[in-house]
Amino acid sequence: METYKKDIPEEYLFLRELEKKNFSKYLRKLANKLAGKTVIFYGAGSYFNTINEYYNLNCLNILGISDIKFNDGNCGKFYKEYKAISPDEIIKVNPDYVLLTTRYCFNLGLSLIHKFSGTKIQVKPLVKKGFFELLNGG
Amino acid sequence: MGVKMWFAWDLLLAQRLFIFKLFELLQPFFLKDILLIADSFGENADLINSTPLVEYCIKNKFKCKFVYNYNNKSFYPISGVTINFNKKNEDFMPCLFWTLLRTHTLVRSCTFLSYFDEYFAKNKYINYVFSQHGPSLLKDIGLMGHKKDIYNYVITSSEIENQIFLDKNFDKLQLIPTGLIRYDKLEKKEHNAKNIFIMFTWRKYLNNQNYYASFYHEKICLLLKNKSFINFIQENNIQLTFALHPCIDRIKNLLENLQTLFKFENIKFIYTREISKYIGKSDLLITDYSSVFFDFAYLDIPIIFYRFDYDRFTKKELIFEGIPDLKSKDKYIYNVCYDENEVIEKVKYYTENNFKLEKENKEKNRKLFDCIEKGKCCENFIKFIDKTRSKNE
Repeated sequence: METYKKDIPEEYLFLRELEKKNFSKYLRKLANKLAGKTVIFYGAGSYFNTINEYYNLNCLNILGISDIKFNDGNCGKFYKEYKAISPDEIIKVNPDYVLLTTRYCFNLGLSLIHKFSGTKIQVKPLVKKGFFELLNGG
Repeated sequence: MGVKMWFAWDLLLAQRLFIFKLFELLQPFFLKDILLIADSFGENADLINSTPLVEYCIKNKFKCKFVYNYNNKSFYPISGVTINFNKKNEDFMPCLFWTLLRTHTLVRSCTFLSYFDEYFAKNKYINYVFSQHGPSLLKDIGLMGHKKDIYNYVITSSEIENQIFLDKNFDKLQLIPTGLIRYDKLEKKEHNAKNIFIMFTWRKYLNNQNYYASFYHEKICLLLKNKSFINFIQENNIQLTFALHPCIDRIKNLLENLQTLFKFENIKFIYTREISKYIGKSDLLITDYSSVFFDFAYLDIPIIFYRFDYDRFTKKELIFEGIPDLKSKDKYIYNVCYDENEVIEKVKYYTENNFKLEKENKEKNRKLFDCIEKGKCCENFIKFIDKTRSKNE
């Protein structure tokens, strides 16, 4: 963790949180659970950028990453090394899981569950959330 | 492991979905007699609040409830009307469950940016009105997340703005052309000193960068340290007030650091929660494309649009920042500058001309508010609500 950019305060905060949650270990367990399943990340902001930079997400079978900023002509291109998918295209792509990669994801999760109701797509957070964290909007 | 991994998530989601279902089951049995006004819940809601509407409703005995954060110093608790809410957006439904059961119209100056927007827009008993915190013109509303199905109605101020929404596939019936609620309180105030107000809007790229190393900060420094500018300001006893955008507020000690960096008497840095005190007493605004300019245009206070970083953006970055068509909108405004020397020349011009706005620019301002009856925005809004009271009546 010595390589984090100290002058970007958000990144430092995110990395500290992820360390406390033992995210490396959790990621390995998540990869085992989702073996053979396809995944799209949702949320291409600073939280995802930090996770992507410091953790190896290639253990998951990732079809791409979605975000509202990939509407209006940005869809189909690449964001970091992942295919950029518009939120409206997710149902067509038909992943098994949409993993939320925003720091506060409970409300977003509700919105996407409503959007994907009637499909097989499950919406879960990428980073493990506890009860109290979720009660505070996490 | 499989069960534990998402146990908390699944349980709380199930609880939340149950609350929504219960709400829908109970709604038909409650009389709909409340206009619920729920502004931004942050303490910095000073500029965007709907308090004139609350005051109008109380004066005219129109039943309303006002949800706001009691730490917002621009208003005060009123028994039977105000509801203190200092939680996150996602707690809105469970906390206001019983009030929402009796609500016929929900008015917000910020969207929830979440599931609640579509939920209330689709709810057959509640009219969900987006009252905006600044008219839409310079920024692309689609890129800012506004679509026709995330609220039922939107308050607009001009034919230009109406067309912007119609171009994004909004229905004409969704537009309430009565002007922003807070305009009823906007007025010029007598003051002795010459005041220049400066406020720039946020840049999304700053979320991923060290603010102090950014081009944004560099250009602000170049302007505020320009010797010709400083000398002119001091010689003419002009007070500069620089408002930090709410997103910059979260950078620790920024205000104090800026005060230290620009140590001369004529400049003051403030948070946006204090803005409304300064608008009526300002003689000139310097901004980039912040929608705060509308408040100054409403009062015919001269404005300089300083686009200090526009030419650095790629096409993709302009889309990311929500301003892909900014230059094409220049026909609606005036005094657009790309260089700090141009800005300084304009400041000198207006100072020497007693901050009087030119006739042709006043005409441009008229067009930004051509739907409005000045002083009657709240009254006309309530008339509209009365007419469309219940979707199912």
